Amino acid sequence: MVTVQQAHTNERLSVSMPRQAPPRNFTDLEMQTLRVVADTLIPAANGNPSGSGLAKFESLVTRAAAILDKHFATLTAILGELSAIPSEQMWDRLRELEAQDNETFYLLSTLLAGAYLYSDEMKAELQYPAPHRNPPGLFDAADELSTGILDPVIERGPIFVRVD
Amino acid sequence: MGRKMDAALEEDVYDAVIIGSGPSGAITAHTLAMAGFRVICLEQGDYALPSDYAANHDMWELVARGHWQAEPNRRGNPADYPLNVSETDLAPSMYNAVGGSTIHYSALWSRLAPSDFRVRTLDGVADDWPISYDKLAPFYDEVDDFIGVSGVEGDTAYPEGLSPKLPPMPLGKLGLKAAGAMNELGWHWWPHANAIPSQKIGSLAACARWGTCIQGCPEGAKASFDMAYWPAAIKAGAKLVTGARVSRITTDESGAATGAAWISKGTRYHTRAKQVVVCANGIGTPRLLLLSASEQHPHGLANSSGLVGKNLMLHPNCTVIGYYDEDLESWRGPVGSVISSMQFFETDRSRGFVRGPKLHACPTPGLLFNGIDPHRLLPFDALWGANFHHVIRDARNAIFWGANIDDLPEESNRVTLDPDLCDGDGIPAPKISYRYSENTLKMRSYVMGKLAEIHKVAGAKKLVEIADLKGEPGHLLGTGRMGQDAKTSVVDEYGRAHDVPNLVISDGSIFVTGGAANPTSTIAALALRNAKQLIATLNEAN
Repeated sequence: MVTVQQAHTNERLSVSMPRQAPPRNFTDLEMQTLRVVADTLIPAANGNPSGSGLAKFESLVTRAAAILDKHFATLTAILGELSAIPSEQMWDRLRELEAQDNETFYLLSTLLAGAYLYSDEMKAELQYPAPHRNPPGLFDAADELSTGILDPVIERGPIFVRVD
Repeated sequence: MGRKMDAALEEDVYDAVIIGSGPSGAITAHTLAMAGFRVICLEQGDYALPSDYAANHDMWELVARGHWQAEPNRRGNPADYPLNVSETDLAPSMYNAVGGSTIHYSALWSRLAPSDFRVRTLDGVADDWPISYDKLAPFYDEVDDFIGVSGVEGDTAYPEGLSPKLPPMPLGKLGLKAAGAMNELGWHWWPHANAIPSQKIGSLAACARWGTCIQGCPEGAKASFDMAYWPAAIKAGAKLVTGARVSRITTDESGAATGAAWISKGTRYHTRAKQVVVCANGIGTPRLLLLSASEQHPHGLANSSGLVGKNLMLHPNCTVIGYYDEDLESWRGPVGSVISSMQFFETDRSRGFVRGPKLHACPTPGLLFNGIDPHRLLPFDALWGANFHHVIRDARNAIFWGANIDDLPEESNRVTLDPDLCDGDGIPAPKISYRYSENTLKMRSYVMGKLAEIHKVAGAKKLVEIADLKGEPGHLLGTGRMGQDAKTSVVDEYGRAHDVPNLVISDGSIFVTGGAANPTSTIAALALRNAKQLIATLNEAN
């Protein structure tokens, strides 16, 4: 008889799915601070947009914050602190933050770098494949090995120590 | 769960209760159920489904960080218990779910070498195992065939007869690049065996190279043991109870085990069994044994030797990531590893340390994972500012050359019960005390140089060296070691506790030394061997 019991029917015990929205929306000041930090970490260069120079910047960082929802309080706390930093001093302040509070800097910079890399503009620019099915050809592996690439290893023979 | 089921659970006396549903729990359940025994497994987590995994989501790399973290303290799912990591050089990773930590392992499927079982004899350190490679080989083979390991027979780093059941996945541009460099150096390499089937087998699909193996396979093509073994175990009649957190193993006046006490949604239960099999791995198992102290076992269950929790080995891993100009299609899976090398795994005392590392080359999917994050170890402006745009382009063509460090046992590296920290059910949490040994640091330094050398021969334009690879030490070994002497070990060669006649430990705890191989293959083989011996024990009792 097949018997599987799930004691908790309403709660996933081993999977916490990402939220669709962060615990609350960013305030205007928080969003403005995110723009300054994004442009400091990722300046425009060689035709690439700056960190905030994305058509859907606000929706992208909001989506990223929803995914990283467990850390939303930490995120808004640092944004509150950084909102008082003039933009021309932001680089030095962020470098200081990285050295002194790496976890918070990691969170902030991951959110912004993630939003940037998963933007339509950068997906189109980088053409970096998202995870997808791409099964190999039936003979791909055999064709590789039939070139004799393993022959030098085989010719050298066993390399392990024999024991009783 | 209704009252009727509650009563049934309490009144039943199973042939065996298994604690933990990871690879060893799954194999034990399947083996006993196939032999006709009544077996129940208690698992504190529940199922993660292929549709849950990060690859199904937009911004998948962020999802992997937010909700699929390797370290339980960072993940904080309801099934997780906290770890005190204030006194460890590495924060261990694990996953609490059906299938255990194979949910997010990379399925590198390598065996210990014959010399790993004879470290005391050959190198004069640690202890020999009470079994040999030859004794374990048939059980390695049986598990490999069941789950469908992919690879190439004849690896010159192992004795004859190692023959993975399924053909290998292609090496791809990345693997060919890595292999070419090894040939140029004249060093051993071999297509890496992976528990990632190249063809459909059993309940597993064929690999479609999503490249997100570590974050869970959306194809159902990785041998995580929720997929690879549990369907067959349940079909054979094994009972799996999820959401069941075991608080202690119960014993009678004679000191024999009587079953397991567990908690679900705040309600306490007790399941009785003739045999108790602990499969909670190198941290969960000693935690539970220490929690199960009693008048008959005042220092913890099966702990007359005082060794429960001691000799923790974490396999500190390291890597050198090389970035290349040519298109290596580094985004393509599986991850998995394309090639391994055992060139340096046997002892050469001229290197200044004993034993040695295993090397493996892997693809590097994800611009955050393998572009942004490694560069965080460099000066600030090497990643941020104008260089950001170079970093994300370079990350497209990278090879991750990693190494497992053979972490020798030391009693000071240990798991104890934290006096203050508790899980969500009020059960004391484990405290991890772990420091790198001198041998470990010397080995790590040596292999980092070798990994860099491979990249340089291959023509890498830039290297990022990562000595402390975060989220990697999911290899939790040695805290209930095997041995023939009850004074110097916890269990015998079949995982049977020296102190408790009907208690078996079948997980990474029972390793005597760590070896350099990724350990799940050996954990699985040991579990199968122990389970078959347990069948004989139960038959004799009946």
